[in-house]
Amino acid sequence: MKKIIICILSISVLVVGAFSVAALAKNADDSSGDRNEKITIQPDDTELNKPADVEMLNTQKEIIFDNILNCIDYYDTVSGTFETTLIDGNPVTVSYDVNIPKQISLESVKGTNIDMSILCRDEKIVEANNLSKKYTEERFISQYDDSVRKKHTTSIDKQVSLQSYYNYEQKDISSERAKKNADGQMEFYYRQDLTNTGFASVSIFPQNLVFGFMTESDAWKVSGIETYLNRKVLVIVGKTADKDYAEKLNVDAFIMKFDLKTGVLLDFKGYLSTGELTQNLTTSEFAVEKSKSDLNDEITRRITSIQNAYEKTNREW
Amino acid sequence: MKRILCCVLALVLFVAVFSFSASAATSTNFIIDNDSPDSACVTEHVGFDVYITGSSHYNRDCRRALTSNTAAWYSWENESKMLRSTNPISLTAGIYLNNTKFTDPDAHYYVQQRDGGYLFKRLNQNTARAGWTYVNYTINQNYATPGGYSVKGISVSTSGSGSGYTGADAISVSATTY
Repeated sequence: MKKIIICILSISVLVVGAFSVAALAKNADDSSGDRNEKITIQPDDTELNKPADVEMLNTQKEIIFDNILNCIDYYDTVSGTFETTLIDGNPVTVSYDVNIPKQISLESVKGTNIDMSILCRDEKIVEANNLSKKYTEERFISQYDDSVRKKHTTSIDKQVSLQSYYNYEQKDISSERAKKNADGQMEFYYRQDLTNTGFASVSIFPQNLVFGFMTESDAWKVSGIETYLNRKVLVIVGKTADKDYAEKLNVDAFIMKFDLKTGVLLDFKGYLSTGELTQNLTTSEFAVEKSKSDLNDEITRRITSIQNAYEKTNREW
Repeated sequence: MKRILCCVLALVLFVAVFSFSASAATSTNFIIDNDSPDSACVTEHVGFDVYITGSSHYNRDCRRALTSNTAAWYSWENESKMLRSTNPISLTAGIYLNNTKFTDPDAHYYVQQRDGGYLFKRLNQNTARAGWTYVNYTINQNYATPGGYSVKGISVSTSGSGSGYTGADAISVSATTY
């Protein structure tokens, strides 16, 4: 009997040992995933304006591509106004005010066929159609985690911040975000949009356009640094590499101007091969880290006003 | 001596079982095409009545609705592969679209839990490039059943604005919990 018990005991100890090793391995994985803790931000001391600087920027396209795809790490609050054709083909004016740490946002969208107010607060999005006087209210789970997110204090051209952020050295970072699968289909890995905007995101978190026009690094280049709305912008010019995408947007060539500090797309111009301007996004107002102190109160007031005056409808599914 | 050994044995087995339940990962992975013939999958829709065929689409077909139709929705579910947990679920949701006519500027995508859902992605189908759009999402709330999390599928509803079409083709769900 003793022998049997000792035998079972030995097996049990082995099982526990195996689980302990597995747990240790898992912990090791977790610690390697906690890369954000290793950030060492470099001071923003570069004045980019010489041809050599532009040449240098064109040697680190992957860094620029990836930084712009992560532009929500470069600001806490943004507000502004832009006009664009990228929403429904007609000129539409979008005004926005976003506070990422507080997870509140306000969008106003106005055009020939559209007039909407979209307000986000308390993990709810209220969408009001100002034409039909109807509104919807939807729940979302905020993906913002203050303990994980590290806001960058450098600008989007800085290679060193990116490499330390990801702890990837000598790695093709851009290929991690956009690649072709075994079936030949493209795969695009989006970040969760911490701005919680659907319309303003075309400018303040332009993942669609960056994947659309900048995935193929040989199709675009940095042409210079300019001043736009009193801010330094990175000017990128290119040709649309994906023929279907070119056809869909009517854009064969483009010029994009990204705010150098935040990666926000302030200006976009899309052209046909004939030179005809077919798409545009033009920012008229833009402010970073100057969020209204009473934004939350304003959103609350506007939601109450909508709830009192508009008819509530539900999205059925 | 026997009693001591039995006690030790019981303790060791308890620790082993506890370790297993604490560290065992459960997960689910599935892809559902529109109009899936798989009996385990349920695809339902209101609106999205136009059925389209073509080689660019997943399994050569998809559906579309007018973006202005505020009542239109499409849902993809697989109850048999639903992941349920009392711990948060880490989800990677995939949306496949490949049609130049899909131009909804603000299509709403929801993760479907057993008893409710949450908006997880507002996608401008107009400026999205053809292919798979993947988004990570942590499910750590359920207003219908607090403390009980699950995922069984995805649904999409039209923005209600614009003059084009909202597309519905294939979705993928890859979810893990501990």
